[in-house]
Amino acid sequence: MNTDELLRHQGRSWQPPHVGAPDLPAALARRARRTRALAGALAAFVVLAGAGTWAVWTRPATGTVAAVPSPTSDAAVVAAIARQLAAAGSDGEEATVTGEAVRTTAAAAVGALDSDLGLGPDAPVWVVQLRGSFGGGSPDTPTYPVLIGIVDAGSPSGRILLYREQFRDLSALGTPIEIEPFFVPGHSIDQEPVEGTRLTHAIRTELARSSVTSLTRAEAVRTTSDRATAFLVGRSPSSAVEDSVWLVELEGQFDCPDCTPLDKAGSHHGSVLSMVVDVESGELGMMTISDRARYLDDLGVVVHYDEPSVLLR
Amino acid sequence: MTLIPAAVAAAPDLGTTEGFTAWVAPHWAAMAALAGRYGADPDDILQDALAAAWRKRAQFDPARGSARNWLLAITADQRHKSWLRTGRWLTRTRPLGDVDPTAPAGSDATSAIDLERALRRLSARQRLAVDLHYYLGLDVAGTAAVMRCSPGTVKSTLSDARGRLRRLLGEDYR
Repeated sequence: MNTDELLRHQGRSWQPPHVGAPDLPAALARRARRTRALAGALAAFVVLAGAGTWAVWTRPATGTVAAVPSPTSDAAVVAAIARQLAAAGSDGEEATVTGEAVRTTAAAAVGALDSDLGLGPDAPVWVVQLRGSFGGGSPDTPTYPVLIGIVDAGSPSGRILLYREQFRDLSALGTPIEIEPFFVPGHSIDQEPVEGTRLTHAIRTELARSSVTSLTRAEAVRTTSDRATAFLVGRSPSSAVEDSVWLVELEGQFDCPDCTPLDKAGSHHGSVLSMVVDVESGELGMMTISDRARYLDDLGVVVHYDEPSVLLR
Repeated sequence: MTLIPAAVAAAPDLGTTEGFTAWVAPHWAAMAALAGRYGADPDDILQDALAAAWRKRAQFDPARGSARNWLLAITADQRHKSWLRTGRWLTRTRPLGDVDPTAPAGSDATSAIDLERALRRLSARQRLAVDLHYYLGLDVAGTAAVMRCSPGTVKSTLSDARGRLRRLLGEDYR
């Protein structure tokens, strides 16, 4: 059976998940809740920023020379925003970035790009479109040549990033301002302070302490420490504390003197290495070794490392 | 004042939630299938797609394409947004619970596991093309309409996807 035949066969036999009938009122109510939550967060930010600004303005002057604010052109504002967006959306590779930006209203941006910042329809926003290499982050996740940022002109920290395949014509939104080419340095994904990065770092750290001959599969599932322990060693939950953990299962060939052996022979050599990693701290809670692969699907949505070798770097 | 194109004005039911829901209903299964192919949270994707379709209903023009393709394009957008939200470098995957992992090698179940895992390693565009063409049964023209590109682009995307799957699946599926 070739690939085409396999796809046709599996496509015919695949059963879509069962879902209820379309419920538009529920969908709109859900969207309204999310918009309110975002608006609340933005309002809190605006209040804090306003309080901070007031505190600075009303602070007694410490010098005798009054500060004179320097005029800031739109081009300079756009250039600064573009650098922030490029850094946030970078795929980690160094690149030269070009692009353009238009100042428009939130409503116009929503209409053109179908992405809502949760601002009022007349709120001014910058739509910044950059050419470069964005997204990605690992060898097997896609990168995109275009990054579009919708940025609250009143508070540049409020923004949405959209990864796109093609450059769009923004002239319908306003007069584009060209962004001078600038350079984005490369960076390691380890620098991103996100939960997944903590997990990856924890796995890498533990694997560095073991002897790994091969690594062919790496998956993880987010669960509680009690469930993870019960899954690994069969003990019933012993504490009332519901710590969130990642249960990681690695398949390959390992020598792990620090691991708890699960097989009766008590060998510290095996083909399946499992570890429990605290979600918040990234600290290791338990590490076991055996020759029996388990399937994590029963515990929840499995996160699959497309390229396990990234864990050995 | 709300501007409603003539195409929508001619279908007054589209302006009410009941009428809009009835208009979507015949295509709901296809939307669910596309959302379900993504794996995690198909309900979330569908809810977002439904709300987005309602918001953009004035933009639908039957002269430019069918309702099914328009709704599938919106579902595909929401699926991609969900992917971006859940992580750019990890792939959230649908549990393979429907498949017996102990099935003998060469069986349908094994093929399904191999194929699902290989499909996760395609680019977002390749995977969307495969899902629309092979799993939803759209022809190349329909797939192109949903992906907003030319049929030629769909053919090359599918060809690239099959090539990568061949490399990922190995000798058994040449």
